[in-house]
Amino acid sequence: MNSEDDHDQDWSCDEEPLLLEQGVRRDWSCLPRLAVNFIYRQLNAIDHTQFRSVCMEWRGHTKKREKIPLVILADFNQDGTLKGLSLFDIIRKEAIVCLHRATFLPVRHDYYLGASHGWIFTGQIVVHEECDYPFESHRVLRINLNNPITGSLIILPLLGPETKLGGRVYLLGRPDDLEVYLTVIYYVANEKGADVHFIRYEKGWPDVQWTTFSLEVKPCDVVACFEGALLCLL
Amino acid sequence: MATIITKEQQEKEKMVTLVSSDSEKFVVEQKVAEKSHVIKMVMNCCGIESPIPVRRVKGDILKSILEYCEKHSKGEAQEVMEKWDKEYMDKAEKDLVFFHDLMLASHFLHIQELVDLIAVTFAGMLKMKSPEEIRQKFNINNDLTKEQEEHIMTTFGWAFQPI
Repeated sequence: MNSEDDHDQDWSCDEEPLLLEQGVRRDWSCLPRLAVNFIYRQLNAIDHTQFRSVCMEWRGHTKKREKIPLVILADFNQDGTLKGLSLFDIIRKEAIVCLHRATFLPVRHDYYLGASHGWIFTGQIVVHEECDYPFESHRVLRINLNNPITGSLIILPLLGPETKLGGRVYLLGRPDDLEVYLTVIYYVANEKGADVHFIRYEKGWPDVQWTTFSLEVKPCDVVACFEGALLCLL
Repeated sequence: MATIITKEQQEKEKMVTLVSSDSEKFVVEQKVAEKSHVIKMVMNCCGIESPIPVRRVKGDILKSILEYCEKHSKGEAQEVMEKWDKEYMDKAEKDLVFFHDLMLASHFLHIQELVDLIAVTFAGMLKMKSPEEIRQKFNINNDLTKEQEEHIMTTFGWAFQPI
């Protein structure tokens, strides 16, 4: 069968991989380029990333995916907390339901506070027993940053005690610096205007506290972060 | 005067013999062998009279592949085929060595439907697994540098854009 040689280009490693005997270990990193190509097209955004992170061969045979944002699907309980959270992959047209358990089990009764830079933000009212606040103010807001792709979870210092719910979290800073250093803003409208809480959070530096200032004029709903500034349309 | 060919002879002419790498012989209908693009090309250029060696595929794999090709040359209802394919893959994925060789052989013989089926099955085996879990299951060495690993895990800004 002379045509054999014509097909050698499809093999990435072993010249005669099919002649291996039973019991000989198969090298899964050395799959034909075409095979890897067929496989990775079947994978959703998160599985695709995990696949590319296995070894150099698989990484070399696959392209980065188009950077099309995932859609966040959320289901809420009657009290407004999250009942379930999943992502929808527009390219594969499939829901990514089972996210990292370690990250997403605690999120289930949190309030949804937004998402950006590849992270999802949630908040939880916790009773903080050690603080000096009056009894009724022991309930403080704990903001969590979840990265569903890496499974990372950042728990920010407690914010309270009068913090209102129903706000949004914004991040200032470059995404790839997030785990080392980031500025987080929690923006929440009140009766008169809005409260803006911010914190410069560094990993391994837990003593850092939130700073709060208030806007006297009530802004519109249009709030955004751009080049290190929080922009509100008044 | 036209030669009269009996039905039996006609059937016989449509049979082709394939020989695996370990010299196992398989006699199958031409339309079954044609499912492989590579074998089809060989039959087109060399005919089907003499046995066709499939030197890179072992007997047990070739047998399984021909079983697949035979089923898929019958033109049965889609539901029946899907059920059959699922059972075929369930069996194949239990033995990773066999599954690996089946994947390579389907690519080598260029049987597109089987290539797709195996890709979907393999992707299913990778779903919801961390890179480390995948490496353990398939016995793969991690040869990525620390920088590469970190880069992969920290460049997901696109995943959720601010609204």
